[in-house]
Amino acid sequence: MNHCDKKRLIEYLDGRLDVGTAADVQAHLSDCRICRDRVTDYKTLGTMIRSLEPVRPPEDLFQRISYQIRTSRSSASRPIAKRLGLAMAGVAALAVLIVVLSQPGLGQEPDPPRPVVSFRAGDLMPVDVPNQAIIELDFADEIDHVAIRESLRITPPIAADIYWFENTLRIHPTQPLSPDTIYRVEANAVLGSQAGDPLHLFVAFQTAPWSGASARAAAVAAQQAREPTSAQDPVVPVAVSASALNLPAAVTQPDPPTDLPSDPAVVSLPPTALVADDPPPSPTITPLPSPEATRPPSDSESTFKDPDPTSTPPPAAVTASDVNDDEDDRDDDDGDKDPSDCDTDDDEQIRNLRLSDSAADRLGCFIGTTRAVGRIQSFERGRMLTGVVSGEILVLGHGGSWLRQPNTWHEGDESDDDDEAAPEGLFAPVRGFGNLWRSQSAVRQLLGWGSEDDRDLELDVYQFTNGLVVEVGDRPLVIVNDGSWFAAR
Amino acid sequence: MTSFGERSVVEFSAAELDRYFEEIYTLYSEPIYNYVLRMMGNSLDAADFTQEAFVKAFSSLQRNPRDYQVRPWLYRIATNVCLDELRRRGVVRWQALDLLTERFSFEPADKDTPERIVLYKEDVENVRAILDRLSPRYKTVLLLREQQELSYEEIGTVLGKRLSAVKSLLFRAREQFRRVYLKEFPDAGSQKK
Repeated sequence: MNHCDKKRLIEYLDGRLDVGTAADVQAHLSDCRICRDRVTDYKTLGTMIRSLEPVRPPEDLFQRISYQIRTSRSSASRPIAKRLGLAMAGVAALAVLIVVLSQPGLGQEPDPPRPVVSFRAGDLMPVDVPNQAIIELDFADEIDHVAIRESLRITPPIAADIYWFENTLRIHPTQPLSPDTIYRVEANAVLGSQAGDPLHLFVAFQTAPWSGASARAAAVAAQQAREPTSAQDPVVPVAVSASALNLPAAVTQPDPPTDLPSDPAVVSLPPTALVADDPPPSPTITPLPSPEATRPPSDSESTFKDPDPTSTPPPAAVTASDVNDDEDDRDDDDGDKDPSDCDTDDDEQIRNLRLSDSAADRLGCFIGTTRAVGRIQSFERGRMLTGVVSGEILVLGHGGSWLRQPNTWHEGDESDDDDEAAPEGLFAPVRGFGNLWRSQSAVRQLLGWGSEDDRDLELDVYQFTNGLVVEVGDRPLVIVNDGSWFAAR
Repeated sequence: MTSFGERSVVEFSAAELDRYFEEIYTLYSEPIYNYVLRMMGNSLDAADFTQEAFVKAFSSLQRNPRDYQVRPWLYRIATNVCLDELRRRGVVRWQALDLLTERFSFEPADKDTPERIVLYKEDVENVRAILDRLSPRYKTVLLLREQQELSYEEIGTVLGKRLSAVKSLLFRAREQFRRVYLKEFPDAGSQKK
């Protein structure tokens, strides 16, 4: 028996066939159990999907959108989430409509703005955080709420109301934070998805130098843990958001844990894709600028700040897809890339790396290998490495994030190596590493002091479509374009 | 969108554009939010990325005001926002071989798997789990068609695909959903006849 053309079957299911064609399909279905069962199943599955209960968006969503439009530059590359409060459920449709329309409109001055940004792993330490900010830590993975709550320590201490909302820990100061102060939030827990793997959480932010500052903070929480050794997503992305709200009554601060290391503030830095022939990236380790003041609204002017002209242009009605890359429009081809599409002849070259399936999956297809001579230095909280990408220094933080920076030092350059003496047992980096370490305070804060002198080494660099593997000694370092790295074994 | 009569968006003043955007938000915030919720899988991300989508929509309106087909235009922005984030998180990965949809096969069903899905009440709870296992592209087209009830033409606008490609993609998405569902929940179906 000839079965229905698959497109015709779909169109029949969706009621898109003319009467005559539909009748033909119906006649076929009455004789063909296979096609009939499939159509029935597709209908059932559609019913299932439509049965998913609709959810109301948060009541403050429009206000958040309004605020973001008013104060932020458009960014097409990285979403900045804003959490102004807890979503409220159970509001009737009409009530929602009223709430929306009664919000300060786009053309009206809103209530005093509540700067809210959330930060993800790989962003900068928030600076200029308002002194009435609420700190939110979003855990992307299952986490032990009780352990985090019991081990939470904030330095310097603050009076705060601390509670969980789903997988977000909210630290709600009940007194204004001190201006121009670096606060550290630390905790210990075990990841629920990785039983037995302890996590040391470390988040730092700096308050604005004056009270009432409305400058936006630039992002991210750094997560400090043991040097990740598992290929199974060793770093849990933690987003930190700061918002200014009216503060509730004070609550006592938790007792500090006893087993946390003492260390200065840690920052993590935005990575860039690690592609061998890319031009050196522009370092972006300065805080985002404050939003420009908006002019008072008028009848003919929008109160929204002009968006960034470099942001993504609007979509055309019908254009080439920008939703899926490498999309193949041929009907019979599934555009998803199959791991088996990689050249299997290359397996032999990378077999010695003994990469886990997860690591291999993240790296993509093997491209080639090179041998290079570079330098390496270990630090208190990471390491620096040259020789991986020509002319660049690779900075690997213990939190599992990495950064590449141009190596601007040349033999014969004047050195500031003697400016500062390292603490006993530690080392001040020199030459190229020292140049970067001294010129970029965020790098210095990320890594700390050198734990050993720098040294030469030979590197085997294995390049993949989505990253690199660098053999340093007997431990391959997996460096993924998404900004994460880990030791393969 | 009727409050501005026959006037084109291109003619709007800044204040009118603001009101226009408010109307768009009023009409589409809930469906877009629910679409993003199913794409991202949790309410916090849904709020964040719905916000991101509307902010980008306003930016587009402001920089290039024109008479968009609002619904597919908004879904296109929301889809891009979701897929960009999923890609950034490393969630958009190559499909495991056993989840790849084969060509429409006329072979009889496996002997050990039911041939049909019978809808049970508790099956609806399984739907979320299955949706999360689909490739983002398949999940996108299924949600756009089944949940958001976009037409093929609108889906084509959202995804930037020809109509024939939309049909093909929709077929493969339904087939993958069916196969994964039957594999994950074999008790959900009737016994082999």
